[in-house]
Parts: sequence; structure tokens; C-alpha cells
Amino acid sequence: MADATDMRFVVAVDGSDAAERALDHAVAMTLAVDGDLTVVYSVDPDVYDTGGPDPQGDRSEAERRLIVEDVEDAEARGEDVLADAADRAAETGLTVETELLYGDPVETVASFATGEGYDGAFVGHRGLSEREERLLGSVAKGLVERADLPVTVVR
Amino acid sequence: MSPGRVCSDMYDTILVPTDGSAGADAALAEAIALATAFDATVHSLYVADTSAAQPETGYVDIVESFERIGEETTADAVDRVEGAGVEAVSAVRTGLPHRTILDYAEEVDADLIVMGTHGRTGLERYLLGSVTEKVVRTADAPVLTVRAPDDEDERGDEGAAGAER
Repeated sequence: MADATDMRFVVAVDGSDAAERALDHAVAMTLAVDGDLTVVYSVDPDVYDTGGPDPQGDRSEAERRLIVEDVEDAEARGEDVLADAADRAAETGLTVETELLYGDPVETVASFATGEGYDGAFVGHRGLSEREERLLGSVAKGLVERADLPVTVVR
Repeated sequence: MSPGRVCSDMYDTILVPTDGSAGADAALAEAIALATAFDATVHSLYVADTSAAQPETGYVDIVESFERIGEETTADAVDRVEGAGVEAVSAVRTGLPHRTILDYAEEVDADLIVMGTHGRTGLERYLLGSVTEKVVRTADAPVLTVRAPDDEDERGDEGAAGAER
């Protein structure tokens, strides 16, 4: 590891309990080595299916039923989650940087952490089964696979 | 890291499963750095993989030879850890790798599991990385993954240099 004053960490949050534990871990580590911490949230608008129990029929029916969340709403949600994270870190005396990213967090968090030259990343993991993970993807798995930096996955 | 300014209760017991690979080496280096900063004990665990030994093909011999490899591998790890002035424990267990790692982590109440991941290309990454992937998905303790130096690339370069000679 590099000199203590040079250590920079990044933690990805999404408002989940696992992400909060990852944040606590990242804060403790950052304080321990007197480093810097950046908290990131990736804005990835939700897609809602407003339809009933029947499977979607043709494409026009899918268009009627699916509502893509407004990007501004998703941004506002991200800002809230980041503000909460910054407050939580501040309780320990640590001032953090925050950063909104845009896109699928599996991609954006990995490329941000690698591209910005961080020394380590922290991410929460909800404990998905192998099958769920294959279907939904997992930010933790994406980071571990793609990022060149050490990644701590916190349950 | 400077050992002076730490919350020393964060990591007390750090587990590093080893298989003697470059990924496990990189994981051990990271674990030593953390253990130095947090005044923690590093456990080096080797799992003699019983799934690789079938009863009809001399099961006992194969497991015994795995265990012998395990004794040597973990002894090397303990030398490295103690050489850095960090307390070390070695363990050799027999079983399915990811399950055995999780059981051992629970047994010693590990605060962190440090594991290597391999290069980004080829079958080797897929096969050897799968234990790390399973542990990441199922461990209760935080799992720190460290990528091995890109040994595939280096090997490729050496191969190219060799071809030129």
C-alpha cells in the first residue's frame, strides 16, 4: 500500500442497508489511514410495469404499460442518498466527497473507481443467489470482475 | 499505512485462503498491510479440495499429497507474515473450497476475508476465480478481493520475446 496520506477510497451507495454497512466500513478504513473518501451513487432511472398479471403482448402494449422514471426524479433520489451518506460520515468527523454517476452502476462504479485511480473500493452486497445475480446483475460482482483496484464487498 | 492512527478494533482476525497462486500472493500482501495497520492476526488457510479426488483413483493418496502441499504453502505464508512483524496462524483443511473457507471464517470469527482474483482473460480466470466468486456471494464477513498482477500479459510478452530469439 502507498503512503497513508495518499490513500483514496470510493464507496458506492444506493440507499440499501448493505450499502450503509459498506459506507461504515469505508469510513472506518479512511479514518484509520487518514485518507480521503468519495461516496458515489449511480443514477439509473427505474422502469415500472404498470400492467396487470398478464404477460406483455406486442410492443405497443409494452409501451403503454412501461413507465420510465423521470431522470430528474432519479437524480433527486441520488442526491438524497448521497446527502444522507455524507451526514452519516460527518458524525464520525469525516468529510467526504460525493459524486453522482449516470448509468448502470455495474458499469459506472467500476469505471469511475478504476479511472480516477482510487486505492480501494467498498460496495454492499444483498446476498443474492447465483440465479438472482445472473438475472439482476450485481454491482459487487461487476466491481470484483472489472475493477483493477482492491474491492471490499460488505454484506 | 501508518500504524499510529488506527481504529484498532476494526480488523482483528484476517483470513487469507491460499492455493499458492499469484492471486493468493497478492491477497496475502494486502492482508499483511492491513494487519500491520490494524494490529491484526493473519490466518493462512489451505483447502485440500476433495472434489478433485475420486475414491476409485487413490483418494487417500491424493488428499494426503494435497495436505502436504497445503502444509508447505501455509508455512511459506506464515514466514512472510511473521517476517513483516505480524502474528500468523496456519491451517490446512479438507473439503469443498468455498464451503470450507466459510466454515473456517466462522470458526475463527474472521473480520475480513482477503482473496485474489485472476487476470481478465482465459479459462484460468473462470475456473480459479469461481471460489472467490462463491465466497463473495455467500460470506457473512466482508470480502476484500485483490487482482493478481496481470500475469497473463507478462507471460504473453515473454512468449513474444522468446519467439524473437
